Amino acid sequence: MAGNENENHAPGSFVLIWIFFATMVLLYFLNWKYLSGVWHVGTGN
Amino acid sequence: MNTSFRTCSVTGLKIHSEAEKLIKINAVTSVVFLLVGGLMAILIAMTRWPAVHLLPEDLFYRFLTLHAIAMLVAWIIFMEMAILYFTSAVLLNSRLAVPKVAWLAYILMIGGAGIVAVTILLGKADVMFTSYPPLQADPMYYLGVILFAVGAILGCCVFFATLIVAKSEKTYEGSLPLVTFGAAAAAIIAIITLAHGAIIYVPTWLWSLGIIQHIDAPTYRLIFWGFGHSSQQINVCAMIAVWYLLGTLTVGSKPISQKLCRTAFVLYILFIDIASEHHLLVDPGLSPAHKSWNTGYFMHLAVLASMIHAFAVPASVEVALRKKGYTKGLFEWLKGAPWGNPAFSSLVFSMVGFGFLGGITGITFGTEQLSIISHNTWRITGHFHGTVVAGTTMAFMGLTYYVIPLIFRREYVAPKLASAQPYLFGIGMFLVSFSMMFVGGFGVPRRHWDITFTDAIFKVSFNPVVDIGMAVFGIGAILAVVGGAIFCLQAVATLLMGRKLA
Repeated sequence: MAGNENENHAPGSFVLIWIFFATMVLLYFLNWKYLSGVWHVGTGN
Repeated sequence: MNTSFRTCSVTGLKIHSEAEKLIKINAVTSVVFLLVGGLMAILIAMTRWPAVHLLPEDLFYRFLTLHAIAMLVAWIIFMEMAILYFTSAVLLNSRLAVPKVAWLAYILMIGGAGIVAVTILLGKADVMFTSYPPLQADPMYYLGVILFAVGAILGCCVFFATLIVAKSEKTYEGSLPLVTFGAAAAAIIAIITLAHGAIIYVPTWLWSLGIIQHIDAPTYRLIFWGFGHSSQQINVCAMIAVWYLLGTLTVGSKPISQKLCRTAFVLYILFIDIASEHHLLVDPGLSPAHKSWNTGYFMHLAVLASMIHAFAVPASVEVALRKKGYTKGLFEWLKGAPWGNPAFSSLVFSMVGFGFLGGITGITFGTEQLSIISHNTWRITGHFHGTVVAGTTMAFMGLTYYVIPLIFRREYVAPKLASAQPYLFGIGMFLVSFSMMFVGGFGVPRRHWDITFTDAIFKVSFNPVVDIGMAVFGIGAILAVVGGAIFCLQAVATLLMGRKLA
C-alpha cells in the first residue's frame, strides 16, 4: 500500500492546484469587493 | 451486416470499418464548421474592435448568429459524435452497433445544420444563438435545429447500443475504460440537453408557422437554457474524457484514482445541468430561493467534480513523467514534458485556459449576487471563450493530431507548423478571453455592434483603458484565427496530400 502511494506521488501538481485554488479565491474576493463598491447597502440616507 | 475490421499498427486496436468511416465523416464535417465559424469570428472581431469596425450592423448580427451556431453547436457536436464512436467501437475493440442508424443520425445532423446555416445567411434568422421570443426566425431555422437535435440523440443511442454489443460480445475485460466512462457521462448529458432542445424548439417552430399563437417568454428562457448551456456541459464532460485520453497518448499516464475520477463524472451527470440556471439569475420570473438552491448549492457539486479532474489529470501526467526519470524538485517533470508534441501542448493550454480563464470566472459570475455586475457584459463572453474555445476546442484540436494518423492513416504535411499551431491559437485565445473579461469589467456590453454609441441620444463613454483592452482583443483574435486557419489547412492538406502510413 505504501508502495502504491509512493508511485502516485505528485507534489508538483499539488502545488499547482493550490495556486489555482488561491487564484479562484482572489478573483471571488475581488468581485465581491467590486460589487460592494457599486451597490451600496445602507439606510437610504 | 458489415463486420470487417483492421488492426491499428501503432495501438493494436481493432477498428471496425463502419465505425472508421463514421468517425472520419463526423470529424471532417466538424472541421468544416470550425472553418466557417472561424471566418465569421474574424469578421465579428474586426467589427467589435472600434478602430476597425468592419461590418454594417445587419451583417454583424447575422454573422454573430452563424458564428455561435457553427462553433457552439456544429463543430463541437460533430466532433463529439466522432469521439463517441471512437471511445465505444474503437477503444472497446467492438463493432459499431446499427451503423445504418449512425448514418441516419449524420444525415439528420448535416441536413439540420445546413438548413440553419443557409437560413441565417439568407437573413431570415437574425435572432442570435438564444433566439428569445418575441424575436422570431423563419420556421426553417427552428426545423433545422430540431433535425440536428434528433440526429444527435440518435448518435448517442448508437453509442449506448455499441456499449451493450461490446459487453455482450465480450470484446473487453473488466469495467469500461475511464475515457469511455467519461464519454458515456457526456452522452447522458447530451440526451438530457437535446431533449430540452426538442421540448422548446418544437412549440417555437409551430409558433413561427402560426399554428400556436403565443410562446411564454420566461418559460422559453427556462427550458432553452436546459439546451443552450447544457450543450456546453456536454463539451466539458467530453473535453475531460479527452484530457485523460491525451494524457495516455502523449506521456503514457494512467488515472491516479479510477474511483475518484468516475465519481467526478457521476457528479457532472447529477448536477452540472442545474448550473445552467445561472443564465436566469437576473430574471424576474424566478424566485430567489429557486436561484439560490440551483446556483448557490447544487452547482458547487459540479464544481467539486471539476476540482477533482483539475488535480487528477496533471497529477497523472506528473506521475507518468516522474516514472520516466524526471524526479528532481517539484517541476522537473514539466521541463521534461513533450512540449513539441502539438497534442500535449494543446492539452496543457486546454487545462490552463479552461481552469484559469473559463472555470474560476464561471463560478464567480454564476454566483447570484455577483451576476448583477457581469450579466450582459463582455465578461460573460470572455468566460465562455475560456471554456469552449481555449478549453474544449484546444482539447479537440489536440485529439485531432492523433485521429489523423490513427484513423486516416496519413502523415502530417508540415509537422513543425503543427508543433507551433497550439501556441499561436492558445496565446491568441488567452488574449481574447482575458481582454473580453477585462473590458467587460468596465461595463462594455456583449453582442454589441458599436460600443461608441455613435448616433445614440444619450452619450456613453468608457474608461480610456478600454481602448487598450479592445486593441489587445483585436490582436488576440487575429492570432487565434491564424492559429485556427493553420489547424484547418493542416488537417485538409494532410488528408489530401499527406504520405500514407502503413
